[in-house]
Amino acid sequence: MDTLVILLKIILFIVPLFIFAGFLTYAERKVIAKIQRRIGPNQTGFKGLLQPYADIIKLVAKEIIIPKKANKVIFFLAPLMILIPALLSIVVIPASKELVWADLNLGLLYILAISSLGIFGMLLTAWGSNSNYALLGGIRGVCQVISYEIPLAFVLLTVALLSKSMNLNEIVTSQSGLWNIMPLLPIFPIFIVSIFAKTHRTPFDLPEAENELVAGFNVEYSSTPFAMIFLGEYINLVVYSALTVVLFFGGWLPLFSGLEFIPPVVWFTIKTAIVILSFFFARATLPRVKFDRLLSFSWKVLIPISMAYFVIIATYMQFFRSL
Amino acid sequence: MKLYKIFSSIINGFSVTLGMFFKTPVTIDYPNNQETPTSATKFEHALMPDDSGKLKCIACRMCEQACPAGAISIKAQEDDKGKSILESFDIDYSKCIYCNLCVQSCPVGSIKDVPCLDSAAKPDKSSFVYNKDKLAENGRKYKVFIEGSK
Repeated sequence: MDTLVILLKIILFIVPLFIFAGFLTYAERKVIAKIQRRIGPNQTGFKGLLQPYADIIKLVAKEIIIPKKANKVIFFLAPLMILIPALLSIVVIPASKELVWADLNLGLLYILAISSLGIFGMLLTAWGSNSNYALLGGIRGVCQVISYEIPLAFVLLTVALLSKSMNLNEIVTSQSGLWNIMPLLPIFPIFIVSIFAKTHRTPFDLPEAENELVAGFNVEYSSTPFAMIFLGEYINLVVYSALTVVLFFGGWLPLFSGLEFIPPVVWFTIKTAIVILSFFFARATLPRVKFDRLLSFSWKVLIPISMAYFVIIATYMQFFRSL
Repeated sequence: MKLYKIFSSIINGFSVTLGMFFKTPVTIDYPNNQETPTSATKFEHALMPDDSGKLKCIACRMCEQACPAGAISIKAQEDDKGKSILESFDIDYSKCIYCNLCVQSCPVGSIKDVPCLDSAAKPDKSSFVYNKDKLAENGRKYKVFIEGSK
Protein backbone atom coordinates (compact mmCIF):
# COMPACT_ATOMS: atom_id res chain seq x y z
CA MET A 1 0.00 0.00 0.00
CA ASP A 2 2.78 2.34 0.97
CA THR A 3 4.75 1.64 -2.17
CA LEU A 4 1.58 2.17 -4.21
CA VAL A 5 1.12 5.60 -2.67
CA ILE A 6 4.73 6.48 -3.36
CA LEU A 7 4.42 5.25 -6.94
CA LEU A 8 1.28 7.31 -7.41
CA LYS A 9 3.02 10.37 -6.02
CA ILE A 10 5.93 9.85 -8.41
CA ILE A 11 3.63 9.50 -11.41
CA LEU A 12 1.59 12.54 -10.38
CA PHE A 13 4.81 14.49 -10.20
CA ILE A 14 6.63 13.36 -13.32
CA VAL A 15 3.82 13.32 -15.86
CA PRO A 16 2.75 16.96 -15.35
CA LEU A 17 6.40 17.94 -15.36
CA PHE A 18 6.92 16.33 -18.75
CA ILE A 19 3.79 17.96 -20.11
CA PHE A 20 4.99 21.29 -18.78
CA ALA A 21 8.40 20.84 -20.40
CA GLY A 22 6.65 19.96 -23.64
CA PHE A 23 4.58 23.13 -23.50
CA LEU A 24 7.74 25.09 -22.75
CA THR A 25 8.99 24.18 -26.20
CA TYR A 26 5.74 25.53 -27.65
CA ALA A 27 5.98 28.66 -25.51
CA GLU A 28 9.56 29.24 -26.62
CA ARG A 29 8.63 29.04 -30.27
CA LYS A 30 5.69 31.40 -29.84
CA VAL A 31 7.63 33.94 -27.78
CA ILE A 32 10.59 33.99 -30.16
CA ALA A 33 8.20 34.27 -33.09
CA LYS A 34 6.41 37.22 -31.50
CA ILE A 35 9.75 38.94 -30.94
CA GLN A 36 10.64 38.38 -34.59
CA ARG A 37 7.21 39.75 -35.59
CA ARG A 38 5.89 36.56 -37.06
CA ILE A 39 3.35 34.00 -35.89
CA GLY A 40 4.69 30.83 -34.30
CA PRO A 41 3.04 27.44 -34.73
CA ASN A 42 -0.69 27.96 -35.14
CA GLN A 43 -1.91 25.11 -37.30
CA THR A 44 -1.88 22.05 -35.05
CA GLY A 45 -4.87 22.29 -32.77
CA PHE A 46 -6.37 25.53 -31.55
CA LYS A 47 -3.69 28.18 -31.98
CA GLY A 48 -1.05 25.50 -32.24
CA LEU A 49 -1.48 24.22 -28.69
CA LEU A 50 -1.16 20.59 -29.78
CA GLN A 51 2.25 21.25 -31.33
CA PRO A 52 4.25 19.60 -28.51
CA TYR A 53 2.12 16.49 -28.87
CA ALA A 54 2.80 16.46 -32.59
CA ASP A 55 6.52 16.79 -31.88
CA ILE A 56 6.53 13.96 -29.36
CA ILE A 57 4.50 11.66 -31.60
CA LYS A 58 6.85 12.37 -34.49
CA LEU A 59 9.91 11.72 -32.35
CA VAL A 60 8.59 8.51 -30.87
CA ALA A 61 7.50 7.14 -34.23
CA LYS A 62 10.96 7.53 -35.74
CA GLU A 63 13.47 4.72 -35.98
CA ILE A 64 16.25 4.49 -33.43
CA ILE A 65 19.42 4.49 -35.51
CA ILE A 66 22.52 3.19 -33.79
CA PRO A 67 25.88 3.82 -35.47
CA LYS A 68 27.59 0.60 -36.37
CA LYS A 69 30.55 0.75 -34.03
CA ALA A 70 28.86 2.59 -31.22
CA ASN A 71 28.90 1.12 -27.77
CA LYS A 72 25.27 0.10 -27.31
CA VAL A 73 25.28 0.22 -23.53
CA ILE A 74 26.71 3.73 -23.36
CA PHE A 75 24.52 4.87 -26.24
CA PHE A 76 21.36 3.99 -24.39
CA LEU A 77 22.55 4.96 -20.93
CA ALA A 78 23.56 8.49 -21.87
CA PRO A 79 20.16 10.15 -22.43
CA LEU A 80 19.03 8.78 -19.09
CA MET A 81 22.07 10.40 -17.50
CA ILE A 82 20.88 13.72 -18.92
CA LEU A 83 17.24 13.33 -17.96
CA ILE A 84 17.49 11.85 -14.49
CA PRO A 85 19.73 14.46 -12.81
CA ALA A 86 17.34 17.14 -14.04
CA LEU A 87 14.41 15.31 -12.50
CA LEU A 88 16.36 14.70 -9.32
CA SER A 89 17.24 18.36 -8.87
CA ILE A 90 13.68 19.53 -9.03
CA VAL A 91 12.53 17.72 -5.90
CA VAL A 92 14.24 20.09 -3.49
CA ILE A 93 12.83 23.31 -4.83
CA PRO A 94 10.06 24.75 -2.66
CA ALA A 95 7.02 26.05 -4.47
CA SER A 96 5.51 27.09 -1.16
CA LYS A 97 6.24 26.49 2.48
CA GLU A 98 4.69 23.03 2.42
CA LEU A 99 4.93 22.17 -1.26
CA VAL A 100 8.39 20.73 -1.39
CA TRP A 101 9.02 17.09 -2.15
CA ALA A 102 12.21 16.74 -0.14
CA ASP A 103 13.03 19.38 2.42
CA LEU A 104 16.72 18.56 2.57
CA ASN A 105 18.90 20.45 4.99
CA LEU A 106 21.63 20.56 2.37
CA GLY A 107 19.39 21.40 -0.57
CA LEU A 108 21.84 23.79 -2.19
CA LEU A 109 24.73 21.36 -2.06
CA TYR A 110 22.45 18.64 -3.37
CA ILE A 111 21.55 20.68 -6.44
CA LEU A 112 25.17 21.48 -7.15
CA ALA A 113 26.18 17.83 -6.81
CA ILE A 114 23.36 16.46 -8.94
CA SER A 115 23.96 18.97 -11.72
CA SER A 116 27.56 17.81 -11.83
CA LEU A 117 26.20 14.35 -12.58
CA GLY A 118 24.48 15.77 -15.62
CA ILE A 119 27.87 16.39 -17.16
CA PHE A 120 28.43 12.67 -17.40
CA GLY A 121 25.38 12.43 -19.58
CA MET A 122 26.85 14.85 -22.09
CA LEU A 123 30.18 13.07 -22.09
CA LEU A 124 28.55 9.69 -22.56
CA THR A 125 26.42 10.88 -25.47
CA ALA A 126 29.52 12.23 -27.13
CA TRP A 127 31.60 9.11 -26.56
CA GLY A 128 28.90 6.57 -27.23
CA SER A 129 28.04 8.02 -30.62
CA ASN A 130 31.41 7.04 -32.04
CA SER A 131 31.54 10.12 -34.23
CA ASN A 132 34.17 12.87 -34.41
CA TYR A 133 31.74 15.71 -34.48
CA ALA A 134 29.69 14.41 -31.61
CA LEU A 135 32.87 13.97 -29.60
CA LEU A 136 34.01 17.50 -30.32
CA GLY A 137 30.62 18.88 -29.40
CA GLY A 138 30.49 16.86 -26.24
CA ILE A 139 33.96 17.79 -25.08
CA ARG A 140 33.26 21.45 -25.70
CA GLY A 141 30.07 21.11 -23.74
CA VAL A 142 31.78 19.44 -20.83
CA CYS A 143 34.53 22.10 -20.75
CA GLN A 144 31.94 24.83 -20.73
CA VAL A 145 29.83 23.31 -18.00
CA ILE A 146 32.69 22.53 -15.63
CA SER A 147 34.21 25.97 -16.15
CA TYR A 148 30.99 27.67 -15.16
CA GLU A 149 30.30 25.43 -12.21
CA ILE A 150 32.98 27.18 -10.19
CA PRO A 151 31.51 30.70 -10.24
CA LEU A 152 28.12 29.12 -9.66
CA ALA A 153 29.41 27.32 -6.58
CA PHE A 154 30.87 30.55 -5.22
CA VAL A 155 27.63 32.41 -5.75
CA LEU A 156 25.65 29.65 -4.07
CA LEU A 157 28.07 29.72 -1.15
CA THR A 158 27.62 33.47 -0.84
CA VAL A 159 23.85 33.05 -0.74
CA ALA A 160 24.18 30.32 1.87
CA LEU A 161 26.37 32.66 3.93
CA LEU A 162 23.89 35.47 3.69
CA SER A 163 20.90 33.32 4.54
CA LYS A 164 22.78 31.28 7.12
CA SER A 165 21.46 27.99 5.84
CA MET A 166 21.60 25.60 2.92
CA ASN A 167 17.98 24.54 3.27
CA LEU A 168 16.11 26.14 0.40
CA ASN A 169 12.96 26.73 2.44
CA GLU A 170 14.97 28.54 5.10
CA ILE A 171 16.70 30.62 2.44
CA VAL A 172 13.28 31.78 1.28
CA THR A 173 12.06 32.61 4.77
CA SER A 174 15.26 34.51 5.55
CA GLN A 175 14.39 36.83 2.65
CA SER A 176 11.16 37.98 4.24
CA GLY A 177 12.73 41.32 5.16
CA LEU A 178 14.81 42.02 2.12
CA TRP A 179 15.12 39.89 -0.99
CA ASN A 180 18.58 38.48 -1.53
CA ILE A 181 19.02 40.32 -4.77
CA MET A 182 19.60 43.64 -3.03
CA PRO A 183 22.82 42.85 -1.16
CA LEU A 184 23.94 40.46 -3.87
CA LEU A 185 23.31 42.67 -6.87
CA PRO A 186 26.93 42.65 -8.16
CA ILE A 187 27.08 38.88 -8.37
CA PHE A 188 23.62 38.41 -9.78
CA PRO A 189 24.96 38.84 -13.34
CA ILE A 190 27.59 36.21 -12.56
CA PHE A 191 24.86 33.85 -11.44
CA ILE A 192 22.81 34.52 -14.55
CA VAL A 193 25.76 33.98 -16.84
CA SER A 194 26.63 30.71 -15.10
CA ILE A 195 23.04 29.54 -15.40
CA PHE A 196 23.04 30.25 -19.12
CA ALA A 197 26.22 28.28 -19.51
CA LYS A 198 25.06 25.32 -17.45
CA THR A 199 21.81 24.85 -19.30
CA HIS A 200 23.66 25.50 -22.54
CA ARG A 201 21.27 28.14 -23.80
CA THR A 202 22.16 30.96 -26.13
CA PRO A 203 24.51 32.81 -25.89
CA PHE A 204 26.41 29.77 -24.72
CA ASP A 205 24.81 27.05 -26.77
CA LEU A 206 27.89 25.88 -28.65
CA PRO A 207 27.50 22.23 -27.63
CA GLU A 208 24.25 22.11 -29.49
CA ALA A 209 24.67 24.99 -31.89
CA GLU A 210 21.78 24.28 -34.15
CA ASN A 211 23.07 26.04 -37.18
CA GLU A 212 26.70 25.09 -36.85
CA LEU A 213 27.45 21.72 -35.42
CA VAL A 214 24.15 20.12 -36.51
CA ALA A 215 22.97 19.49 -32.96
CA GLY A 216 26.47 18.93 -31.61
CA PHE A 217 26.85 16.11 -29.19
CA ASN A 218 23.50 14.57 -29.91
CA VAL A 219 23.89 14.36 -33.67
CA GLU A 220 23.54 10.58 -33.79
CA TYR A 221 20.43 10.44 -31.66
CA SER A 222 17.13 10.00 -33.44
CA SER A 223 13.91 9.25 -31.73
CA THR A 224 13.16 8.44 -28.12
CA PRO A 225 16.72 9.01 -26.87
CA PHE A 226 16.66 12.41 -28.54
CA ALA A 227 13.31 13.18 -26.97
CA MET A 228 14.78 12.32 -23.58
CA ILE A 229 17.78 14.62 -24.10
CA PHE A 230 15.52 17.38 -25.33
CA LEU A 231 13.13 17.07 -22.40
CA GLY A 232 16.05 16.85 -19.99
CA GLU A 233 17.35 20.19 -21.20
CA TYR A 234 14.03 21.91 -20.76
CA ILE A 235 13.54 20.43 -17.31
CA ASN A 236 17.03 21.68 -16.46
CA LEU A 237 15.88 25.10 -17.58
CA VAL A 238 12.91 24.93 -15.22
CA VAL A 239 15.15 23.81 -12.35
CA TYR A 240 17.59 26.66 -12.77
CA SER A 241 14.88 29.28 -13.22
CA ALA A 242 13.20 28.07 -10.05
CA LEU A 243 16.57 28.15 -8.31
CA THR A 244 17.09 31.77 -9.38
CA VAL A 245 13.73 32.70 -7.96
CA VAL A 246 14.30 30.85 -4.70
CA LEU A 247 17.78 32.21 -4.12
CA PHE A 248 17.42 35.79 -5.24
CA PHE A 249 13.86 36.85 -5.66
CA GLY A 250 12.27 35.58 -2.49
CA GLY A 251 10.82 32.27 -3.70
CA TRP A 252 7.20 32.11 -2.68
CA LEU A 253 7.20 35.38 -0.74
CA PRO A 254 4.89 38.13 -1.97
CA LEU A 255 6.17 41.34 -3.50
CA PHE A 256 5.31 43.38 -0.43
CA SER A 257 3.49 42.34 2.69
CA GLY A 258 0.18 43.82 1.63
CA LEU A 259 -0.38 41.17 -1.01
CA GLU A 260 -0.40 38.11 1.19
CA PHE A 261 -3.87 37.01 0.14
CA ILE A 262 -2.47 35.69 -3.13
CA PRO A 263 -1.31 32.11 -2.42
CA PRO A 264 2.46 31.58 -2.34
CA VAL A 265 2.35 29.04 -5.17
CA VAL A 266 1.01 31.72 -7.48
CA TRP A 267 3.85 34.08 -6.57
CA PHE A 268 6.41 31.36 -7.18
CA THR A 269 4.85 30.47 -10.54
CA ILE A 270 4.73 34.08 -11.69
CA LYS A 271 8.33 34.73 -10.77
CA THR A 272 9.59 31.51 -12.37
CA ALA A 273 7.60 32.30 -15.49
CA ILE A 274 9.23 35.71 -15.75
CA VAL A 275 12.69 34.17 -15.42
CA ILE A 276 11.92 31.52 -18.05
CA LEU A 277 10.62 34.27 -20.34
CA SER A 278 13.88 36.12 -19.94
CA PHE A 279 15.71 32.97 -21.04
CA PHE A 280 13.65 33.01 -24.22
CA PHE A 281 14.30 36.71 -24.72
CA ALA A 282 18.02 36.12 -24.35
CA ARG A 283 17.86 33.47 -27.03
CA ALA A 284 16.25 35.92 -29.41
CA THR A 285 18.55 38.81 -28.60
CA LEU A 286 22.11 37.73 -28.03
CA PRO A 287 24.61 36.29 -30.49
CA ARG A 288 26.63 33.23 -29.70
CA VAL A 289 29.89 33.64 -27.77
CA LYS A 290 33.05 32.21 -29.30
CA PHE A 291 34.25 29.21 -27.44
CA ASP A 292 37.68 30.37 -26.30
CA ARG A 293 36.24 33.65 -25.09
CA LEU A 294 33.56 31.71 -23.25
CA LEU A 295 36.14 29.73 -21.30
CA SER A 296 38.50 32.61 -20.70
CA PHE A 297 35.59 34.74 -19.50
CA SER A 298 34.79 32.19 -16.86
CA TRP A 299 38.29 31.54 -15.66
CA LYS A 300 39.73 35.03 -15.86
CA VAL A 301 36.76 37.20 -14.97
CA LEU A 302 33.95 35.38 -13.22
CA ILE A 303 35.97 33.27 -10.78
CA PRO A 304 38.03 36.17 -9.38
CA ILE A 305 34.99 38.41 -9.04
CA SER A 306 32.84 35.78 -7.37
CA MET A 307 35.66 34.83 -5.00
CA ALA A 308 36.24 38.47 -4.11
CA TYR A 309 32.56 39.07 -3.44
CA PHE A 310 32.42 35.93 -1.33
CA VAL A 311 35.20 37.36 0.86
CA ILE A 312 33.39 40.70 1.03
CA ILE A 313 30.15 39.12 2.15
CA ALA A 314 32.00 36.96 4.67
CA THR A 315 33.63 40.03 6.24
CA TYR A 316 30.31 41.86 6.22
CA MET A 317 28.60 38.96 7.98
CA GLN A 318 31.40 38.72 10.52
CA PHE A 319 31.64 42.34 11.51
CA PHE A 320 28.29 43.90 10.77
CA ARG A 321 25.94 41.05 11.56
CA SER A 322 26.74 38.62 14.28
CA LEU A 323 27.54 35.50 12.37
CA MET B 1 34.51 52.27 -19.29
CA LYS B 2 34.45 48.95 -21.06
CA LEU B 3 32.23 47.27 -18.47
CA TYR B 4 29.66 50.02 -18.84
CA LYS B 5 29.75 49.56 -22.61
CA ILE B 6 29.16 45.81 -22.30
CA PHE B 7 26.21 46.23 -19.98
CA SER B 8 24.68 49.08 -21.90
CA SER B 9 24.87 47.23 -25.19
CA ILE B 10 23.21 44.15 -23.71
CA ILE B 11 20.48 46.23 -22.12
CA ASN B 12 20.00 48.11 -25.37
CA GLY B 13 19.55 44.81 -27.17
CA PHE B 14 16.99 43.63 -24.67
CA SER B 15 15.05 46.86 -24.88
CA VAL B 16 14.82 46.49 -28.66
CA THR B 17 13.62 42.92 -28.25
CA LEU B 18 11.10 43.91 -25.62
CA GLY B 19 9.80 46.65 -27.87
CA MET B 20 9.40 44.21 -30.74
CA PHE B 21 7.51 41.80 -28.47
CA PHE B 22 4.60 44.19 -28.17
CA LYS B 23 4.22 45.02 -31.84
CA THR B 24 1.81 43.21 -34.13
CA PRO B 25 3.21 40.45 -36.30
CA VAL B 26 3.95 41.29 -39.90
CA THR B 27 2.95 37.85 -41.19
CA ILE B 28 -0.55 37.47 -42.54
CA ASP B 29 -2.19 34.16 -41.73
CA TYR B 30 -3.05 33.67 -45.39
CA PRO B 31 -6.25 31.76 -45.98
CA ASN B 32 -7.95 33.17 -42.88
CA ASN B 33 -6.94 36.81 -43.24
CA GLN B 34 -6.21 38.23 -46.63
CA GLU B 35 -4.98 41.62 -47.53
CA THR B 36 -7.21 43.68 -49.80
CA PRO B 37 -5.44 43.74 -53.14
CA THR B 38 -4.56 47.02 -54.77
CA SER B 39 -5.56 47.83 -58.28
CA ALA B 40 -2.07 47.00 -59.50
CA THR B 41 -2.25 43.28 -58.65
CA LYS B 42 -2.31 40.98 -61.63
CA PHE B 43 -3.64 37.51 -61.08
CA GLU B 44 -6.28 36.45 -63.57
CA HIS B 45 -8.14 38.14 -66.36
CA ALA B 46 -11.78 39.01 -66.85
CA LEU B 47 -13.97 39.94 -69.76
CA MET B 48 -15.82 42.99 -68.59
CA PRO B 49 -19.53 43.44 -69.27
CA ASP B 50 -20.97 46.83 -70.06
CA ASP B 51 -23.82 48.32 -68.09
CA SER B 52 -26.47 46.33 -69.88
CA GLY B 53 -24.75 43.01 -69.18
CA LYS B 54 -23.35 42.22 -72.62
CA LEU B 55 -19.63 41.64 -72.99
CA LYS B 56 -17.69 44.62 -74.29
CA CYS B 57 -15.46 42.42 -76.45
CA ILE B 58 -15.65 43.22 -80.19
CA ALA B 59 -13.52 40.24 -81.24
CA CYS B 60 -10.87 42.40 -82.90
CA ARG B 61 -8.16 39.87 -81.93
CA MET B 62 -5.73 42.59 -80.80
CA CYS B 63 -5.11 40.74 -77.54
CA GLU B 64 -4.44 37.49 -79.37
CA GLN B 65 -1.81 39.19 -81.47
CA ALA B 66 -0.32 41.10 -78.56
CA CYS B 67 0.12 38.07 -76.35
CA PRO B 68 3.82 37.07 -76.49
CA ALA B 69 3.16 33.59 -75.16
CA GLY B 70 0.20 32.75 -77.37
CA ALA B 71 -2.03 32.06 -74.44
CA ILE B 72 -5.20 33.59 -75.93
CA SER B 73 -7.21 31.75 -78.58
CA ILE B 74 -10.20 33.48 -80.14
CA LYS B 75 -12.84 32.10 -82.49
CA ALA B 76 -15.13 34.63 -84.03
CA GLN B 77 -17.70 34.68 -86.79
CA GLU B 78 -18.97 37.44 -88.99
CA ASP B 79 -22.62 38.04 -89.03
CA ASP B 80 -24.48 39.38 -92.04
CA LYS B 81 -23.80 43.04 -91.18
CA GLY B 82 -20.00 42.44 -91.04
CA LYS B 83 -19.72 42.72 -87.30
CA SER B 84 -17.65 40.11 -85.49
CA ILE B 85 -19.41 37.95 -82.96
CA LEU B 86 -17.28 36.31 -80.32
CA GLU B 87 -17.73 32.53 -80.34
CA SER B 88 -15.08 31.34 -77.92
CA PHE B 89 -12.33 33.02 -75.96
CA ASP B 90 -9.82 30.85 -74.15
CA ILE B 91 -6.89 31.93 -72.03
CA ASP B 92 -4.44 29.15 -71.26
CA TYR B 93 -2.95 29.99 -67.87
CA SER B 94 -0.15 27.48 -68.23
CA LYS B 95 1.22 29.75 -70.97
CA CYS B 96 0.23 33.18 -69.69
CA ILE B 97 3.16 35.17 -68.37
CA TYR B 98 1.03 37.86 -66.73
CA CYS B 99 2.59 40.63 -68.75
CA ASN B 100 -0.83 42.27 -69.30
CA LEU B 101 -0.02 43.35 -72.85
CA CYS B 102 -3.50 42.08 -73.76
CA VAL B 103 -5.01 44.51 -71.30
CA GLN B 104 -2.97 47.38 -72.69
CA SER B 105 -3.80 46.55 -76.30
CA CYS B 106 -7.57 46.19 -75.94
CA PRO B 107 -9.26 49.15 -77.67
CA VAL B 108 -12.53 48.95 -75.76
CA GLY B 109 -11.24 47.98 -72.33
CA SER B 110 -12.87 44.59 -72.46
CA ILE B 111 -10.16 42.40 -70.96
CA LYS B 112 -8.91 43.47 -67.54
CA ASP B 113 -6.70 41.95 -64.88
CA VAL B 114 -8.49 41.12 -61.64
CA PRO B 115 -7.07 40.06 -58.28
CA CYS B 116 -8.77 36.68 -58.24
CA LEU B 117 -6.64 33.96 -56.64
CA ASP B 118 -9.11 31.07 -56.60
CA SER B 119 -7.05 29.01 -59.01
CA ALA B 120 -3.91 29.09 -56.90
CA ALA B 121 -3.42 25.34 -56.60
CA LYS B 122 -5.01 23.41 -59.42
CA PRO B 123 -4.39 19.69 -59.70
CA ASP B 124 -4.92 18.91 -63.37
CA LYS B 125 -3.77 20.63 -66.49
CA SER B 126 -7.14 20.98 -68.17
CA SER B 127 -8.34 23.40 -65.53
CA PHE B 128 -5.71 25.87 -66.64
CA VAL B 129 -7.70 26.87 -69.68
CA TYR B 130 -10.33 29.49 -68.88
CA ASN B 131 -13.10 29.77 -71.38
CA LYS B 132 -15.35 32.69 -72.14
CA ASP B 133 -17.95 31.94 -69.49
CA LYS B 134 -15.44 31.78 -66.67
CA LEU B 135 -13.76 34.97 -67.77
CA ALA B 136 -17.12 36.68 -68.03
CA GLU B 137 -17.99 35.51 -64.56
CA ASN B 138 -14.77 37.04 -63.29
CA GLY B 139 -15.83 40.19 -65.02
CA ARG B 140 -19.19 40.31 -63.29
CA LYS B 141 -17.60 39.64 -59.93
CA TYR B 142 -15.00 42.34 -60.22
CA LYS B 143 -16.92 44.98 -62.17
CA VAL B 144 -17.30 47.23 -59.18
CA PHE B 145 -13.68 46.78 -58.17
CA ILE B 146 -12.32 47.67 -61.59
CA GLU B 147 -14.54 50.68 -62.05
CA GLY B 148 -13.85 51.90 -58.57
CA SER B 149 -10.13 51.90 -59.07
CA LYS B 150 -10.14 54.17 -62.12
